[in-house]
Amino acid sequence: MTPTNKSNEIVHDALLQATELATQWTFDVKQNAFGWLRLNNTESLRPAAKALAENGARLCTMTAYVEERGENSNKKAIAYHFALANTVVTVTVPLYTAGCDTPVAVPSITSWFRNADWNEREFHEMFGIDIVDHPNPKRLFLDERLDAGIMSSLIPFSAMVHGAATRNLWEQVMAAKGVDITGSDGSYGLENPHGAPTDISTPPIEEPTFTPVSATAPENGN
Amino acid sequence: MSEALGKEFTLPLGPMHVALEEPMYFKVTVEGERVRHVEITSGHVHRGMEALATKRNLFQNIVLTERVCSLCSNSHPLTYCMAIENLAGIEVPRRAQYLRVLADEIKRVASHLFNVAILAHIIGYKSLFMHVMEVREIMQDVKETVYGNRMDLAANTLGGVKNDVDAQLFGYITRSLQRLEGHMQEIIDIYASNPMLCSRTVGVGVLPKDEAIRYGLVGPVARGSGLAVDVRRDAPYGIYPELSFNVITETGGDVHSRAMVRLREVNESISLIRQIAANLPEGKLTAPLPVIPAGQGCARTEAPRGELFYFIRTDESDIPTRLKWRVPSYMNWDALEVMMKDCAVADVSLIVNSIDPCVSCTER
Repeated sequence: MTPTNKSNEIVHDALLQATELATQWTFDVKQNAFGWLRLNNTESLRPAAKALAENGARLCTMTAYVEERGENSNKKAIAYHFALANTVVTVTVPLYTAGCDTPVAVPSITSWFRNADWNEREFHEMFGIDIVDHPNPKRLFLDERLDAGIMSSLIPFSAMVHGAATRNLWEQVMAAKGVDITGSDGSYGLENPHGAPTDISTPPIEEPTFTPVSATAPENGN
Repeated sequence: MSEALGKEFTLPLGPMHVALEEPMYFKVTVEGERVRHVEITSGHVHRGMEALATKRNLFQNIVLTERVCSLCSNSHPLTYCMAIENLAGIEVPRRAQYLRVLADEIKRVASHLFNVAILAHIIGYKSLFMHVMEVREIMQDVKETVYGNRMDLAANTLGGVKNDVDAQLFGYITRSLQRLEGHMQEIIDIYASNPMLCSRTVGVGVLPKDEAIRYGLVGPVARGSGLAVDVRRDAPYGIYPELSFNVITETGGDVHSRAMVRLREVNESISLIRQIAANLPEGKLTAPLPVIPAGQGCARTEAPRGELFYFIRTDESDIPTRLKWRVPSYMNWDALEVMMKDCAVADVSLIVNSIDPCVSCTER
């Protein structure tokens, strides 16, 4: 669909000039416009941001995400959402290249949008995406001791429910009593619960043996 | 002693503080009684809710988003449903659109009155605090009577609303508005002219209009600095284009201006609820739901604190691949460093309250 009003046309033309890409448009039932532009790479982000800023756009927010569902997928992208009157323009930047899913760093757009500061710090710590030329590259929500992108790392359920901290505490209690319960290798990889990767292998469990259920009643009648 | 007063000290404030509604931590650099620099540390109530949303189906996320926070609990599921409706091209029935706006405006009145009551609490005007909270109870009773709950209304669903509001309930709402209106003018007069209140709020925590634009601010904080932004007018949704209301602005850019915007907006909300009661059409409460296609959609609404933004990505399953929301406090909080610059230490909590911060919303 094409832009339908003057405001959309201005944004459309500015982005076309800056990125050589056409914006796609959708509309809600009240005819509020939504522009969708997908850049080829991060190189075009700065010109696009500059063009939007010069036309009075306000940065609404940014969304970092993995494009495909699945534990092995790492194709990350960032959607930058801008508002201009009744128009929202979403500029999406893929962070991967053909054959390489490792996310590339993105340039900061804080030069044009002051409120990009918190957004960029958030996706850095949550998704491990690096930012170039950020003026204040500190953690926003997560503590400095946590690895970047830790929120998207896989933590096996078994690691949680085994209660590493509880086991550690139990081992300390027993050690104080002079009892060694840590097994032959001296550890289950639990000395540093914050370290990665945590060895979550468990000692083999002996299968209990049961008396087979007889199809007939025992002779003594019990 | 006098030598020490001239030096800079770092004063930790929070994360637990009697004047803060939610956990926030500020490292305030002070010189004597003046704040020279503010460093904001956040993350105390980060719950990973966006990640949680990608483990739940589209209907379950209505319940989840209603629990992001309590004061704007209706705005979250509303905007979430609108993002999906925009993505799938669902047209909400007119009666449902009216009822959605009804729930939103009832929540706005209660939210705004809560904030201005806390202002009175912070400056030690306890009788005013108690009075405004008592007046607010009128709207709390409306919520409980109409929706069965004082905070989470559970009014929204995909394609419409969950429950109808009949003529008897509208009669009750209208009578409650009459009671509320009787108190509102008196409260507005007190906030506008009381010498003690004005001496603590006028010229305090000033945010110039150009800074409001630079930080991308929204809602009563932006409108208190003379920036007339309101999603209900700028990108109209629901039934707002058919209703008459004013976008309230003040020019002072201070704590007082932000409070006055909220108080005057209560009157606008009362007017909107009356218009809904007078013009509510008959009709269905929900639209037939298609299969939600793979794609992406956005929606914006005007929550009590300003523009609320939702973005959703779906594949062909009923579980979103990504759900993102950005609340108004996200930018308003960042701008505290401007408002607190060179303020008195005693005014810090007052200025924080003036942005009506919603930390649970911001950190998710």
